[in-house]
Amino acid sequence: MIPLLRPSPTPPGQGRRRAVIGVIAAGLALPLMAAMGGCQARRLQPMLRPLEGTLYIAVGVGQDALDTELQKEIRMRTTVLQTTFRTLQPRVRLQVEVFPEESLRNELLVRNRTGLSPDLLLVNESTAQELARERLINTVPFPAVVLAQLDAGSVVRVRRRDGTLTGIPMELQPQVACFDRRRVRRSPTSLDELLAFSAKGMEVGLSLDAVNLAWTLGPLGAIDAVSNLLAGKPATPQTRQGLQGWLQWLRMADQQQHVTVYPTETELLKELMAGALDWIPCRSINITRLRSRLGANLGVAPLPSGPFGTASPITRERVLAFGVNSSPVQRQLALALARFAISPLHQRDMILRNQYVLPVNREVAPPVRSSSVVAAMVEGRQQSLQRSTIRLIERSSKSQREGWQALLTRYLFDDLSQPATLESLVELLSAGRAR
Amino acid sequence: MNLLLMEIAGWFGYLQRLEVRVQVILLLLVFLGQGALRRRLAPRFPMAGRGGVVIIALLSLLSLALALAGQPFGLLLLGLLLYLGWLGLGGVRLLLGRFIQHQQMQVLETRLIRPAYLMVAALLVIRVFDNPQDLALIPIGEWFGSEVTLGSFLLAVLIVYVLAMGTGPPAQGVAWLVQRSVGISNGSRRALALMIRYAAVAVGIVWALDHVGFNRTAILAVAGGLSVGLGFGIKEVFSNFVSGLWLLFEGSVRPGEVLFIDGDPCEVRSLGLRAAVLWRDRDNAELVIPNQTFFTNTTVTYTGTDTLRRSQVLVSAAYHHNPDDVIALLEATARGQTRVLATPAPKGLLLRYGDSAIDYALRFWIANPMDNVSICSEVQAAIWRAFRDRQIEIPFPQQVQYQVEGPPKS
Repeated sequence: MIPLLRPSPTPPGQGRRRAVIGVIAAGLALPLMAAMGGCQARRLQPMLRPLEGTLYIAVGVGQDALDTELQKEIRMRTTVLQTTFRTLQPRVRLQVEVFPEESLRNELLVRNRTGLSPDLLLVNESTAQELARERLINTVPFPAVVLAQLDAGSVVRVRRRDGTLTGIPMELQPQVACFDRRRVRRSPTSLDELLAFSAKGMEVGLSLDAVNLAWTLGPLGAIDAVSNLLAGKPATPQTRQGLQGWLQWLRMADQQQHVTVYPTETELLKELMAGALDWIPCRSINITRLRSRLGANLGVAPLPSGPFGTASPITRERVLAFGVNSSPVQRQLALALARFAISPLHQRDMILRNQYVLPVNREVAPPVRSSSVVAAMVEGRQQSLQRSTIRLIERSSKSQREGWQALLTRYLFDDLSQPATLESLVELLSAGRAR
Repeated sequence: MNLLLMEIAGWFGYLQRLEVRVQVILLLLVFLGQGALRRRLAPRFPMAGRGGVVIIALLSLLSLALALAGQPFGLLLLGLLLYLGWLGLGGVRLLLGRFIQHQQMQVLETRLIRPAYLMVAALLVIRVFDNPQDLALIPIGEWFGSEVTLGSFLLAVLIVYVLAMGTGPPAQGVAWLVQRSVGISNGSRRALALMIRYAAVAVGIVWALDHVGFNRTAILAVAGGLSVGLGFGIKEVFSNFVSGLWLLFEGSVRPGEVLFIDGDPCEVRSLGLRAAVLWRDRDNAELVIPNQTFFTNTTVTYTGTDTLRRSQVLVSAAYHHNPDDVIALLEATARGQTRVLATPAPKGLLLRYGDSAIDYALRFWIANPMDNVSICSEVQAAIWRAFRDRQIEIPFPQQVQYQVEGPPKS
């Protein structure tokens, strides 16, 4: 006889447990289903219907620069971009994340494996190249008509052999001199004048970071020496002479009572805003921040020249790179946003509204006559273009840049003699690019 | 705060991506469906009866499959790692259990280890969706004239929590060192440990407020207002807290002390912010008594200056026995008990002439007041044996009733 099967009674507590699991499952599944349903609904919509979705944007910043102020500034800029972009795509939402540029590689290594990489990355051109080399971002083709509007040099630098781009050039951030007008009537136009002004009490701040200090190489006749060594050429007496002159000037400047050296630009900015410094070299992106604190007292001017020529600052070229995990809709949105970001409309708005970056769109003429800040930025950009070898410094490896800073710190603290520093510098720069 | 909520809501946008949806669905299926799968597989594979094995095996296989297919699998891997970590906490418990008492281990586990693990797990999950460093800078409001960011707020809360929960063992360690070097009593050591803990938490709170960036003048003003509020609103709570501190300093109610509560000796287990917890040996009950009670009422303690207690048992002997012999026997019997102290010497006393016997008292001293009942029992049993051996009678009370004739009937 087959025994009658009866459902076993539910053990005490199991019913409640099942109910809890049910609630959790529903809580997790509902957004998921909503998202899936949304996608299906979109698939059924006509082609011309505006795109809809969240676009994740990662913004790379300096390692030490990330603080509440900078984050606010970046979020404000994103909000402005979102507001204007919504005139084209009203159902898009931009979610911005800020990362130290140096840690982006590791970040993407993790994110790409989870499928959560950002759709767009606003980074330095050199960073984009590095990420593309490791296939951590997608290279994209872009219509030639659109690219023709952009700064030719910038486009060349992001174009790959297969015709795709590592990123879309978006903005230029030249290096200029920032000063407090209450203490400094006009910015020094030469290095001699800089030291003369400091001797009269002007507090000068310099950063030992290689990229930030590169502006002094040109006026002091060391730019060719550095670029030759970085390019792998052997050290010649001229090379050593050029570097020696530069090192001597640094020592002389450091011995001035009113000249102070700091490790990074972040310290310079803080000290200028606090009133401890009167004159610093600064990246144009930081002008907004300085202006919010100093107001009309903030002066902006080109960096001083020297006996061997004009200043040799490095202009940061910021590009929009593309992540690898975007959905088709997100990729479309990312491309649309990139096109919008380089359109004359947005580029003009960018320069007129904030005056902290230069446009890459050649159809947008910077208002040089109406703004001394823009004029200074344009001058800074021109100075950086004159020395194409400056790019070698920008592209030098991280270990080289760190070695540079450590070497100069020891030199200025009298821990290393000038000949020893010179030899170490030659060795460091000749070591080749470690990447 | 809106910014934070929008940021969190924005994470759901990742579900637009097929790869993310696949991983999330697989995770849900594994964790919610493992029970059914386990029940089905258990008869064939006994190992599968364990929930952990099924989850680990499924997540590993699915991660491997996605990796081989060239698809993102990081979320599955993260789920697997977090689950393994959760299981690993059991191993930590076993390891620490060798060195720490069960009760302390349970407190440590539930209040520190597991919350810490959950926090690390949450950070790891956030780490793949967002940049924690970036999130930490999001302002969540302006308090007392200073902008508070999410990071500084959480860090402050975390520090205070860790100090409140985790300073116990280090404080006890410091107190132990002090005891070893200065020679204070056990009760003083426990009190010192508690005071070190309070001091650490107080310093932590001050540091946390300073770290968050609260305006100190505003804090003082708020503290002034709060003190008035304390006076009226939560008077009892505050009174108990202050009483607790006072008692600690005074040293009358400290962990380890033995107090007489409702006729029973009770040992003070802990002296908290609001109440003291006492252990009653008689029925293994824990009494939670507000600190204020000890502050305002008379407290009988056996551990004030020393831990000795004078105890007493009563016994009767028949009238025909010489009281001197009985007293000598009682004292000798007490001296024969191991847990009765030799000095001060046990003392027998003739208390009174009763109705049917002479009443005697035997007074003796014991080292641990909590052992009073059991030692009295031992002494009384020994007296019975001694009386039996020496044929000393413990008489029954006897009563002879005479029936009296009533008054003559009139």
